[in-house]
Amino acid sequence: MGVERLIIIIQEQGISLLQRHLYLVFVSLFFAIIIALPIGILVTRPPFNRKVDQILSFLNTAQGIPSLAVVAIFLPLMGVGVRPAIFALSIYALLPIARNTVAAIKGLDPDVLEAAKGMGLSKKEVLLKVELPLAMPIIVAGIQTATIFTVGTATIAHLIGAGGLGRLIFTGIAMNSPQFILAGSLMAAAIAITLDQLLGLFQRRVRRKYGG
Amino acid sequence: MIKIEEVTKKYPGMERPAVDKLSLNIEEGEICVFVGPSGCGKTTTLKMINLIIEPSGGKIHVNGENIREQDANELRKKIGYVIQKTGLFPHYTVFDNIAVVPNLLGWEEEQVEKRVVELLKMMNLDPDENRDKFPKALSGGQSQRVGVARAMAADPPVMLMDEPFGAVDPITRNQLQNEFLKLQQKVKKTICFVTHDIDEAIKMGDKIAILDQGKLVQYDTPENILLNPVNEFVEEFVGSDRSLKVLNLLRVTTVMRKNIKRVKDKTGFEEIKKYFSNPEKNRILIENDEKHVVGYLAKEEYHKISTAKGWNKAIRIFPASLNEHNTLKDAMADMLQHNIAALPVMDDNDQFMGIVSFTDIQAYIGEAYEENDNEKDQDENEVL
Amino acid sequence: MTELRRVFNYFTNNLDRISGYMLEHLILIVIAIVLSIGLWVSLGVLVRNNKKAADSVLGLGSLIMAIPSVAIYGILVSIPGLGLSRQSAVIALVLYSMLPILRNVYVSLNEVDKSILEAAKGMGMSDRQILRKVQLPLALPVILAGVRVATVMMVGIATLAVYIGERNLGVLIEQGLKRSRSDMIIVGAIMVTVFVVIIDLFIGWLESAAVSEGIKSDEGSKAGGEN
Repeated sequence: MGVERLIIIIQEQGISLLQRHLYLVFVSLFFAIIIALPIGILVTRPPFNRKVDQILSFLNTAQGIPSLAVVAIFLPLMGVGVRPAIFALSIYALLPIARNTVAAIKGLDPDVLEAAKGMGLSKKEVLLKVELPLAMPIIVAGIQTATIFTVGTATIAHLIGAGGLGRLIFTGIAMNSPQFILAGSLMAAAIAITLDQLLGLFQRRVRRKYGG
Repeated sequence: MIKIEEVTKKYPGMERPAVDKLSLNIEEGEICVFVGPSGCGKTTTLKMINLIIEPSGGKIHVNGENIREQDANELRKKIGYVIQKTGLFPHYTVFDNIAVVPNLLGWEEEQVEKRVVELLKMMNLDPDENRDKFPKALSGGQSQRVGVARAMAADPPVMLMDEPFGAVDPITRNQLQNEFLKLQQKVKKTICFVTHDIDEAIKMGDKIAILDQGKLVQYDTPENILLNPVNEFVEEFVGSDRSLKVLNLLRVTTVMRKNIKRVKDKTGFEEIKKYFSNPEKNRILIENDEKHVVGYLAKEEYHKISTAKGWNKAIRIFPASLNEHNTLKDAMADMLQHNIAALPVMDDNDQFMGIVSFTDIQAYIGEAYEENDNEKDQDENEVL
Repeated sequence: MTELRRVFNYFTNNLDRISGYMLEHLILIVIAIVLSIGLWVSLGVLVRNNKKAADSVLGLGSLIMAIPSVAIYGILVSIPGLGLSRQSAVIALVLYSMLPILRNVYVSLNEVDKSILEAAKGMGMSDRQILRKVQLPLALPVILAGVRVATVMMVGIATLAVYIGERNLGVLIEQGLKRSRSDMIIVGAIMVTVFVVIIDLFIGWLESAAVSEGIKSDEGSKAGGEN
């Protein structure tokens, strides 16, 4: 039956492809977070904070660029393989994280910040003890968005030779084999939903802890 | 015009009803104010009249018709509704806001145009300047006026007003209250008005209904509520300064004395002496050459004068005058301010009408309370 | 520099084809957006007063959003009757737009100031009249913002639909990847990016044009005192 074949595919090829997929996602997210957070914070400090609205606007627009374009452009730039894929995915995941960081910090109640300054906290202390904690819920929401974007974009990483669950799907379409297609699609959907739910829980925890 | 019969509102899970078998009638053309502490049921009762809140029991008749036997939406189109936050549609201009109900009723464009302009003028808002403004561009006072205009657009005979002047500063509130009272004199609508402010109730109401914990405690004219509070609760709610509050209800014309002798300041000492020998005469008015009353001479002051010459040093010149529409409170305030015991009253054409004196005010109020106490004593005696 | 020259040449030599692809892209998106607005705005209006129902459908929308578009395409084409067709592409696009549109409809309808609704009811407007004349107009800015997000998303997802048979701007990238033609990839990438920016700006313009003056936020319009 079709279902049996499906399960065989999953067992034989799916697991290793899943591992590659997760590898791509987590490595890219890691780079994205360590780059996007500092950039996001930097944008809210002088002298950049005068242009904060334009930067925010740019980030919003950049997020709309089709993932296929972002991934594909790395082929002429860096060739095939995991490395160009991670570059592409990191850049794509950067955008929602940076955007949310900027928006969250920008949106903080200025009275709270003024009170903190008035209490004698240094700029660094205000950032670490007041701004970041209060901005956390929204930043985590940005990471949540970035994660599901990355799981999605990683499915097309196959097109530049990076493997991942996309291989099952695209091969399946080419071969007209529903089992391959479904094996890849269902697994990709499963990890996407799982990660989304987990991050959602984490985000709510953070929101409760830091009010906001 | 509005007949409220044994109306009750009970919410599930609440111990006592929000409104408990309330009965009262509001006469046509009267402003009836519902007033009471928080939770007394005044707003709930108001909202049952136009079925925003469904009564749990009892009947309400508006203009002879049972409100339950009508379509709720049709009923509401016939009742003007003004709320504290105005609820003006932010996406409609002032013109369109006021025109809502007429448009719902299908009026002709010209009719609507005429009516909206008329209403803006009535509300002291320049039509050309304001008709195309959006609510966000209006001040608090202007918004409230537009809110009232909107409620009156279809010329409903009945209006419900829930703390309509509550959201503005005291000066604007005073202005709005005065303007509304003047308007009401012209349009004579039947109005049910809710407020938590007893002073507003006394000022605005033809009748006041005091509510407490869902029940009607006293339904009376403002004077009676102040002079004859029915129990301790009303006494306390009205405030211990109720005798002062009463002053605000009475016009100076109530205690004004009209026929007082007038003499010139050049008059002879003898004439005055003769006049004051009558024990009932206490005051003489002094007029100038143009026959304008400029001051008065009190008997007590007169007696202090020993010589015939310079008796006119005892004359007190009136530093200010009262208008016939002023209240006793205005009179007292002026008297205290100018440190004088009597003031003249002028009519709207600036003609002299009479004199109001402190002692006259004291006597009037005092008698009213004395009668009260006597009645109370009588009642108590009867019971015994 | 020859790279740039090649890219430029490819573009100029294939202008016809590229315009054709762009048109296909546009048609697909327009079909999907019209269906999405009809479907999700209606659903949002339906559940506006029912928090439980709203939470369920929003949860569903959120779930769908998390799934990679390629996976949704994969599942849809595996359904007998759909396969590699425009219908599959449209369904995928409509499903993805559920969350941004539905959530904005629900939130904005419920955010209308309660005193405005009470005044409207007190004036004798029926529920339907209140919805049509007060709630929806006031919710419009936020709803349009949701439509904008959805549309931008759709451009990207539609690009991927070339892998299930669509012939739009994604073809340039798909073929470029297959044949290792960097000039095609670059032209394709630039074209879709430009396309997305234009669509975003266009809907942004629609947003300003469609929203009533009275609810645009601007400073300096508050009146001073009164005369």
